[in-house]
Amino acid sequence: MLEVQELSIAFETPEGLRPTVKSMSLSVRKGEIVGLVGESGSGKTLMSLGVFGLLPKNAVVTSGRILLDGQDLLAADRETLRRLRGNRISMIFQDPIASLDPVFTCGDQIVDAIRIHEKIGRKAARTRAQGLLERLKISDPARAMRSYPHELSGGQCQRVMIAMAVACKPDVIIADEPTTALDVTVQKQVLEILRELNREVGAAILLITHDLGVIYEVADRVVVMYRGDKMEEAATADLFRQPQSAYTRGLIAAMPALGAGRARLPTVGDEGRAPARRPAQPRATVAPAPAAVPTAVPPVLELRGVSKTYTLRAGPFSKTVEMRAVDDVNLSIAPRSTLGLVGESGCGKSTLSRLILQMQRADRGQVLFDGRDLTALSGEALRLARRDVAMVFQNPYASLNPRQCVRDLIAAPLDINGRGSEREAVARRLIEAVGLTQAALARYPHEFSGGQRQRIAIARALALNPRLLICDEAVSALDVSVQAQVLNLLRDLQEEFDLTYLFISHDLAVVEHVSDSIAVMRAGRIVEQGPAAEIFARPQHAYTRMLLDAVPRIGTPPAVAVA
Amino acid sequence: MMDMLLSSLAVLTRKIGVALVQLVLIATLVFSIMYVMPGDPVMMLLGAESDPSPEAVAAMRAKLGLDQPVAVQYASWMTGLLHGDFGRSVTDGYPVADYIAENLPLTLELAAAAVVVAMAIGIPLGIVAALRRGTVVDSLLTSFSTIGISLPVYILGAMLILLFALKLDWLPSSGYMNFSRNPPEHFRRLLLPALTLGFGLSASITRMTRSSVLDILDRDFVRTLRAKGMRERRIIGRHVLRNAAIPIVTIVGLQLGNLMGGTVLVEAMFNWPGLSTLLVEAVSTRNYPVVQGVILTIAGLYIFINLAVELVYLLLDPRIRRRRV
Amino acid sequence: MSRFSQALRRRPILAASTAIVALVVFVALFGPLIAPHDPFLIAAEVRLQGSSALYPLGTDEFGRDILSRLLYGIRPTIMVAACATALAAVLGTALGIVGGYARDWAAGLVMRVVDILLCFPPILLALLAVVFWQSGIASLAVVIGIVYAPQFARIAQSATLQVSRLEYLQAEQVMGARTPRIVFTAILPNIMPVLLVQATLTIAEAILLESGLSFLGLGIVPPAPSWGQMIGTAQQYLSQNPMYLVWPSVCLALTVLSVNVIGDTLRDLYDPRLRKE
Repeated sequence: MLEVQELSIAFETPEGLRPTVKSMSLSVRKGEIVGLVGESGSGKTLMSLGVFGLLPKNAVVTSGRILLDGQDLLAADRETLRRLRGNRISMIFQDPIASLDPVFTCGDQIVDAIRIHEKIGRKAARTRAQGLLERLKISDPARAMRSYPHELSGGQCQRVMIAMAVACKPDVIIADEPTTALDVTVQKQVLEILRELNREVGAAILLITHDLGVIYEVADRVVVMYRGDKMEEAATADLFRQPQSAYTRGLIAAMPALGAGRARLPTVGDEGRAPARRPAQPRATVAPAPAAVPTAVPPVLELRGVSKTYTLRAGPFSKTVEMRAVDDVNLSIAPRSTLGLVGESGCGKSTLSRLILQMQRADRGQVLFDGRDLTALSGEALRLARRDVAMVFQNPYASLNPRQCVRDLIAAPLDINGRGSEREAVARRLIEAVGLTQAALARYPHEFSGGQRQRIAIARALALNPRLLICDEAVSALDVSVQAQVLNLLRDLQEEFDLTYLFISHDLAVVEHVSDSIAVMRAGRIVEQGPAAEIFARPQHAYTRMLLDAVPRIGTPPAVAVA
Repeated sequence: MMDMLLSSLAVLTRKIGVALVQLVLIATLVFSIMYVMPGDPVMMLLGAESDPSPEAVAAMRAKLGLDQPVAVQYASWMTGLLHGDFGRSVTDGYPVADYIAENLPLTLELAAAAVVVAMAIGIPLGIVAALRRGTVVDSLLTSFSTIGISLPVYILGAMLILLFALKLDWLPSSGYMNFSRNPPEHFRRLLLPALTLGFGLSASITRMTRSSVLDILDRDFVRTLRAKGMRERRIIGRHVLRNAAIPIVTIVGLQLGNLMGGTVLVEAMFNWPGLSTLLVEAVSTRNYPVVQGVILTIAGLYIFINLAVELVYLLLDPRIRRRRV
Repeated sequence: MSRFSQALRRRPILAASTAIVALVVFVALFGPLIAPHDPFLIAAEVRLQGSSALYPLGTDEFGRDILSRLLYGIRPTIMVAACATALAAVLGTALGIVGGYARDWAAGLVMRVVDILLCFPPILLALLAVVFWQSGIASLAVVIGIVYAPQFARIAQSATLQVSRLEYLQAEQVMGARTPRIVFTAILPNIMPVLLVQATLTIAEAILLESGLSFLGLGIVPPAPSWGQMIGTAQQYLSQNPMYLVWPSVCLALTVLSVNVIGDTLRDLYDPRLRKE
């Protein structure tokens, strides 16, 4: 149905053409779902925009053909292309809320999608649009039709996007990271919808993603891309059973898979270099998980009945609404162990980390650090007590002050605490501890990649030799291969520096990899906690089971049945 | 529907409340001008060098109400304002409110004409520049807007007078004609000052329109519209402009303050008997009540315009209209 | 700055603007040394003459040399603009950082005051202050500086708010940094580009405002020359010597235009919101 032949796309730069997609070929047959996998910068999105004739102004197709049912799209004039778009070939984008026009209702936008290509009355189009939303199992379709995009959740907006994409029964649907911005339970629903549509409408779907798990769940065939090159193409089952290229092998191995327990992750080469040539066998040098900590040892951190309530008021006439961001939370972390705190967006896990650090004050409850109640401290006493807690943030591009060199960044905690005399020695020691060279000290954050920046952020967190390190989604923004490296680094540092971790994440597989014990959070409450192995093997709470169930799993039968 | 109306109403009442507080604060500020400025206003009024008699000073003090305690003066000033009483002119004893009522419409007419001129020029040029980004047309229009922003009104005005009044003799160089007496002449005399005043604003509007249209063109949803197969003309005309209108309204609103300032110079130049002419005259004769009245009026106008801009937002942007809890 | 010098080589208009600004600053410093005549010397017999060998740009209503008056007239304008901008920058940035970073009530208070000051068109405030106070370079600079501080405060506040939401500021707070350190290492260096752009644009506006006041006869006190005042006076003699109006107008317009071109370039280069791939 859709055939891409030897397609090359390049960016025009002042230095000349920079090839970004190199001679890519792939085909999608009727009724088939083909997955296109690659990490950021692999050129997968650019290729899909090329198919649509929507390339950015500074990108050009240098060679190749794109055939839709035998018709060459690159040779077609603009008007022909426009008539095909949204009609016979349609697209679903990554960020559903930003992809909808904020000043029109969702209903109007779906109606538009229909009426652009079909001569049909406004009323009839509305009925059909609402019917589509009903089929996509959106809650209260009539209300969704009247709503503006900002009034709906990400999952609901993505359903609106899908409704627009399928409104004219297209032959080909290209979905570019359709679930990346969504929570895992919502992701599952959206993937199921795609699968069903594929079965019902018979459309060919090209699914672009960085997430191998997603591919495993729904794709029939997979194409792997790396830096603009096709590495491999295979049926999904074959790819995961017997990956041919070294890159794919590395990618699969580096993925933290559920059920693997606390194991060291193999990595794909070093950042910035070509994919590993050596066979990336899971290494045998797996550090044994620390033995169960005797209960006699007092915990490093203990939360007792911590609560935080926000009062919201929509306007002077509305009633105040109480929102329990954190509701009666009890937790404790033993020395040199890792507690994984899991939950979906908005569950209150980030608020909890702010409450521990006393960046926000709890309404009720105690935060005991080494037996001292931080909530009772203030001013200088609090500052001193808090020196033993450090934090690593989610976004390595935002958590480092762009105007400071790495030396100043790492030494910042020393400067703040009047220990500036040690800064040079500490910076030199830590930069090597996190696997960077001394030369990095004089450089600025923008000269480093995401993974390297996260290493710098970790070095900074270690400057004062803290006892507790809070990692708030510390690897979520990183590519899979880089994520594995940073996770390994965190493990090594835990032994070297006697660290205790509070590891906050939405990603169950990542949490399982690093944690000794797990707490599952939902709507401000801890619904279940216990040893990691226990929770993953025998989840007690329904929500935990739902979460576990929703994670795309490689090696088990896909949760979404293959047609 | 009900909750939407209620929350719109809530936003609206809050804005009006804020505006009222601002007005009270400004009235207080204007009231205090007399006291914070160095020098005794009475002595300044009577002329320090003429060495006035103590009786004359006392009489003037009583006339201005300055012989009473400050609190009493403040109270009577504020209650007066509530009744539309701005005090009386020192020079001829006429109510200040009458002066303002006479001059304000002329300033408003001039400003409104200037805004119409500015939007009529600025918005189309800005859209053209954005759609032709990076071309010769774009750089010409961008240069035009930079020049327009840099050109002081009094230079532009002088050049226009030189060209249209002195060289070509098409239009009168200055002055005002009452509309009821001679309508065509009224508009002939409005043309040059409105053009002078509106030109600079049209340059800012061109620039703002260009950058906000460019910004919207970069958004994800425009890509979605193209992927839907919508015609480019409709994407621009319906979706891009509707979204870009929000920042454009902001800039027009913000610039109206500058426009009021510009009227000071333009009115002086073209002998336009508006509020600013009244102000400059009152300032030079140290006619404090008139000065206070005019300043209060201009600031009040400005607050009112800002409120109007907020209302336009409510109409344009559903994100402000209905905020999700 | 390296980005600026690169742009300088690639954009001829920018290069010309920079040259003009450099020339203006040079004349402001050394103008009196190169002026051909005494700008105050009245010669009734050569009133309102056109160009001649003796008076390259003609004479004004008192027979004074226009070129010399132009050369002398830069200095007060530039002095006022530079001092006023410096004052506005310091005052406005301080207010803006308080408004963007301080505790809720303090920030709210500061920004309400700023909002109210923004209700007055700058020229109105300046007019009042000048009339009730006194004319002269120092008082003009102070008045104009105060008048433009609120605009600076708005810009600084929104930039500070943007920076405050970023994780590196939270990182500083988590590390226990005290407010002065956060302000001087995390906030100020990161909002500097925006402030620099605003400063350039404020210089242009201050030049315009000073000239406007002098145009109305309320700025620099005659007989000392200033461009705005020359334009104001020349308007009355438009039919007798139109070039008397043209020369100071061209000088003033070119200067303001050049400063604005530089400001726009800086904005393109350093404002992260406008910087795109």
